[in-house]
Amino acid sequence: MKNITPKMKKKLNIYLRLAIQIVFFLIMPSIFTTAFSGVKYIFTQIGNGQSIELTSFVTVLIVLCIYTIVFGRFFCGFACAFGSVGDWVHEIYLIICKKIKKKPVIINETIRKKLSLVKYMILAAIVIACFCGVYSKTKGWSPWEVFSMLLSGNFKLSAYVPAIIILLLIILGMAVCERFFCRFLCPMGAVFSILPILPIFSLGREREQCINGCRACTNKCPSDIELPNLGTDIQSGECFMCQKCIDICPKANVRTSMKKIRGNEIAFTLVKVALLITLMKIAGV
Amino acid sequence: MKKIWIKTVNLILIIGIIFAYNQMVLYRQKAEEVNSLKAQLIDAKTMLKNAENKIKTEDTAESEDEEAQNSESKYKDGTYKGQAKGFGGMVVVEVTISQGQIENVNVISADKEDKAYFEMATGVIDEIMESQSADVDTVSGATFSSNGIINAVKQGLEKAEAKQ
Repeated sequence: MKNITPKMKKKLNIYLRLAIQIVFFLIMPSIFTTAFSGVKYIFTQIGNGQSIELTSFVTVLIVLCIYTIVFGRFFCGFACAFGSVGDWVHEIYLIICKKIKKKPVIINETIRKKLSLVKYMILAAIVIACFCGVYSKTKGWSPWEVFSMLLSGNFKLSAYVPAIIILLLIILGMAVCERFFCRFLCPMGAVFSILPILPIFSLGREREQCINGCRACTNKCPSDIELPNLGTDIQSGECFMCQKCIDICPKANVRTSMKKIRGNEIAFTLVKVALLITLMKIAGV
Repeated sequence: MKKIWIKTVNLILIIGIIFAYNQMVLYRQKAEEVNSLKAQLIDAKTMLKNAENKIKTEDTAESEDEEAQNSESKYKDGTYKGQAKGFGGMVVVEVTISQGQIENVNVISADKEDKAYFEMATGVIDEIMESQSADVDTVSGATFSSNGIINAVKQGLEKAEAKQ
């Protein structure tokens, strides 16, 4: 492993991530809706004045939240079927742009910052709708439902015209802006970014060793995160743990607080994948 | 590091509220169950009193023979076994009749019943003795076991009637 150049390592990491995303897409594409159904179930029950039981929805939600508290939003970056589709669409868009020699469209950074608050509004709106018992009236508007139906091979979509339009707009957005949906609109992402992420495995950088004025990691980051100094602050809840910053850093400054993981990122990623699959199987996905 | 504490406190608050809510709902459900049982008990007691009063007034008005009353009773004295399907298997009971009245109901076997549920269901025995009839309501939440006991008692009472 010693004679692998950084460039090869970068390529290897890209393919590894792609492979993991495809595996999750094929074996458990429904985790994100299952977990969010848990959120909806809890608030529907409270709205009806009924007790909350440990249904499979709630179990998946709890397991996924605990996993995220420990490992960060690794699920979002590597396992979520919707996020994976977004990544692929974005890659295709970049390739097309290269082919026709056009510059990719970029959304202004201040707009991006403001847009990332929209997901909290969406989460609040859905939670309130569930609480008031009117959520069932939004049938036909959920782009996730259409997405899940398509994945399961159900094409009876005539009642879902608004949802199909929203889904197409989202895919367009995800093509233009990396992780458009995950950053700006995903209600499950809103839940995750509220969670306190433990600083054990989250990423930071040793800023004093950086090249003066270097912003490579922030520029590469799909969430525009300015990494905190190691151990001084927690990671932003917006981080998807895509780990692109690790590869882009010219001085290999980006790492977790655990020193042993440095250099063994691939093995650590595989451990996280195995753990996530096991947990989800136990939770009943 | 301030952020992580704020987020942690928020999370604990949310979980705490949901958990407290859940406990409250469960407590309320139990309280409602107890209340409805109590109401049924009071109903049964007043019915019994009314019946007793009726018998007393009839006694004084007509000063009837005691033997005649005995012959009017539906059941012949003795003990009678009855069985019926409960939740998991057969419930076997023994009904004791003395002086034409249901004096006692004993559960002889209920092997395949869930313990907690069957315990709840045995509440119907008191009701049966109070109303002197097997036409009583089941215990909510333990319908199958209740029906097992009720039907077993019914079978026993049928035998008591047939013996006359």
